[in-house]
Amino acid sequence: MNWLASDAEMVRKLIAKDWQVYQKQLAGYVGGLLLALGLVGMGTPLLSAAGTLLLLVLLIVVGSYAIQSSVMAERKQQTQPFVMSLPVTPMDVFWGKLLANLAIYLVPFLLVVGGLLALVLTTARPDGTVPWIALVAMFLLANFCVSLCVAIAVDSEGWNIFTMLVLMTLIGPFIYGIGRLDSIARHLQTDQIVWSPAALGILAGELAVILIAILIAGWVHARKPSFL
Amino acid sequence: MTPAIALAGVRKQYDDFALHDIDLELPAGQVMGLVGVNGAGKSTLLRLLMGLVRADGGVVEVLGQRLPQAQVAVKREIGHASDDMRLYRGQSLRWHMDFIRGIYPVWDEAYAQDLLRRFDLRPQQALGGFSHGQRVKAVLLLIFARHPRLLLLDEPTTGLDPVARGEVLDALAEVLRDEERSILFSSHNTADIEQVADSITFLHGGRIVASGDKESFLDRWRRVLCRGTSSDAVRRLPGVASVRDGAPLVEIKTGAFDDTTLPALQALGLTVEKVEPMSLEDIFVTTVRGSNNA
Amino acid sequence: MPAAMQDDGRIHGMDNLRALAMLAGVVFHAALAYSPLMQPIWPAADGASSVVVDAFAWFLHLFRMPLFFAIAGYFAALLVARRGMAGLFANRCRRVLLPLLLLAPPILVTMSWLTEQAAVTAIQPSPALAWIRSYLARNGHVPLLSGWAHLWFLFYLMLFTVLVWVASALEAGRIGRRLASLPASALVVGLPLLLTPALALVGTPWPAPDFFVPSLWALAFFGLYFAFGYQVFLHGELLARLRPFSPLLPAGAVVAHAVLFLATDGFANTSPSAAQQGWSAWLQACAGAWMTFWCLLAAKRWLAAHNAIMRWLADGSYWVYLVHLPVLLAIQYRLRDVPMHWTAKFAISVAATFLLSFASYQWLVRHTVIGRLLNGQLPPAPAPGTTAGRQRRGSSPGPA
Repeated sequence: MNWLASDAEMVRKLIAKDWQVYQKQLAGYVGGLLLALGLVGMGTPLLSAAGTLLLLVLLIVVGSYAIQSSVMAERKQQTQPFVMSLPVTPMDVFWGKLLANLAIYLVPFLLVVGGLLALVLTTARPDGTVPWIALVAMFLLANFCVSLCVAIAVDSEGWNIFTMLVLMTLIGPFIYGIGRLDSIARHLQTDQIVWSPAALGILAGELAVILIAILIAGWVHARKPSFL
Repeated sequence: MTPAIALAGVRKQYDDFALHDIDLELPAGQVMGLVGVNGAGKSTLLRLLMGLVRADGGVVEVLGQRLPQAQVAVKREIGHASDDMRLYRGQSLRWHMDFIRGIYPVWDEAYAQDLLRRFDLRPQQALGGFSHGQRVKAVLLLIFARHPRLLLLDEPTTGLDPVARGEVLDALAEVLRDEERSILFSSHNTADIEQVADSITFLHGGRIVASGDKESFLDRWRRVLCRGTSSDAVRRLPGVASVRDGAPLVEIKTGAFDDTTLPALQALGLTVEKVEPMSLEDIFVTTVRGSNNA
Repeated sequence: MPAAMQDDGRIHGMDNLRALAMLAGVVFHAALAYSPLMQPIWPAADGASSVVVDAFAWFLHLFRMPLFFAIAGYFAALLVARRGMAGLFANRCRRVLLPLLLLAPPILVTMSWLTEQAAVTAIQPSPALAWIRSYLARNGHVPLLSGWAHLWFLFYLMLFTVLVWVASALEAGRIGRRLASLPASALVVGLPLLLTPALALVGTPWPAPDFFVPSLWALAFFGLYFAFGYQVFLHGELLARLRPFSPLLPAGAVVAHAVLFLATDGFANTSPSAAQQGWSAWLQACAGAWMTFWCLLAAKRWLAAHNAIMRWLADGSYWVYLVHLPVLLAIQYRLRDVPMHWTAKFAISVAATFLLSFASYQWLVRHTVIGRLLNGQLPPAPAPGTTAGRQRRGSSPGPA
């Protein structure tokens, strides 16, 4: 089956449809992000820490919630047959869901990460944390992509939730692990931004995971014998 | 003219169910009623026709195009409604209408407004607040208003009150006035099929048990009440589907009633008391029971 | 929606009021050089200062930006009513986000360069310039800018635009309607109380939230004014209900400010107790809210008529406000070493800044692509004899 979407216009309409249907949840998410950013911007240690924690929670949990409501709910609430009765191929629906969710996640994600990087670079905080921030951010993004791809490709709600939970539990160990990596830990308190081979390797690995997840999910989705 | 639907040797295997050797044809401009018990395979058949399910074997052609390859082109021209299809609960009917209108340029807004009035639906209400009947009518409205060439309806009148049922059948009849447009709908409700359909297909256990136009069905099937005793010879007569021995009368149901039937029965020592036509429902039940026994 | 004539009048009034608020900012920033409170912090601080400056300048400060955000909320509601949510976003991205992204870098870089020059060449540097000079000597470059400087209001305008969408998607309109139907006395007493918690989180007088990352107190504080302005558009009678309080409002604001000024010893108290912080916050909130109400009422009554000169000033005010700070700093850095009474320096710096800024507007901006970016397409001049207010194309020119 053809991998690419048959009709870019239809994919655009599907994305617009998702946007309209899930606007309320999205608005709550953005509101929460602004609240968290506001806390970080207050500058005092307690409020900044609370804000950063809230940001992390929002980026992790709400990302999963977005997938759940827009992909899994379509199956549970049985709007999937309605969408499939439209003049779309299954790959159109795949790309529609993938792009819609990526956009929903990426816009605030990039703003928050960009803001954090700007914060680190322009204030007294040590610039050496930049690689660490980048690696953790990419890990969160990779997590989200894998969860999303599994949700689109696999029809079982049980497996989807299992995947999301497993990925979430990996975040802690990952943050701990790269904090202990010698090539990163050495520069955390300094103002030097050092991209060691290990750091670049991990970054490349995260990007590769995202690409592979999308490719595999697309392949699996294209070969499904039944779409209901 | 290319048939609206042409299935040849279609098979589909699931874990605990299978469709076998489906050969079916629906000429353009006709209505076919698909009758079967729950689990007979009606929904699977309809999904095959929508390209939602890929057949394991055989050829599926809808409006002259092969499925699932041409599914986008085909889905532009057909409308599908099934019981497991839901609309977005948080959005209004008007939102759905605008959504469909943006996708199908042939959307007929005037007709849609007419249907809104006849179906008594409120466009600004969120779908979550619709009753079952209103929901069914909403889905049908979204389909009817874009004048598709083929309608595939899975139990369109199930669960509707008599008034709503009448409205839906009226709208279906309007579709039929256009000779180019065809309908395939499945139902338990044989009364609907009797009212609207041109041809009927019985589906049971994943197979087509009987298929033909409605008139010939009703013509071929009779319930004959005789006096006398039944014998194996009676059961072996061609077309006899059931023989019930309830002394003093024997009830024989046959699907091949013609000029030779009554003489054949008399030759076997039975006195014919009454010959009655059978309702579609009765024919269906008898056929199913017959294939269960086979 | 009220009749077109009335509506037009209100729009002119708001336009002109916003222009005045922005132009008052020029006066305010010029005054900072002669403010005793700002002597240690302001790079352009002159040696001479007077407590009179503090008394007046900070009064202006207490309500100038709150008023601006109230007007911004009003125009946001107008845009949503006329063009829908998508139209609001399109308009704000063109008029606010794009200018911010395009003009902030050159403006900020210029200011940074000017300050560096002043630090190096000043004969008697202000404390801030002296600190920059020593930083320069130690590190070889001036400290990196970590904020938007005076352009922070554009950043917050974009954030509030996003919040308009959030609030509408979450159906917060119901809360707005409930609050807007409260009696006027509830508003007069209630709004300052609502504003107090946010102000209590920061120093007195409240600082400009110019950091790259938004501050929660500023989102809440200016957000409330923005929301109030939004409701003013949606409920035409809101302002009318406040009119009976009109004479009391400015008097009350002045009194609140006076009490605050005296109690904090001209804002010199840098380590207030929690209670003092609370009181200061409340007094600031009263002064700001009441003056905002009064200005809105006054504008409706006195600024609503169409006037060609006011129109031109209003058109130019956006550009002038964007560029005034580098121009002002350039002038005041020069004036620092000139022996002259501070009142003369103040008058000269204000006049020169206005002259140069408006000149640059008239000849470099008004009829060019920058002018279209900031103000939208200028309508053709009205035929002589027309009295009705002009309807602007791409209405709501400028940032608010």
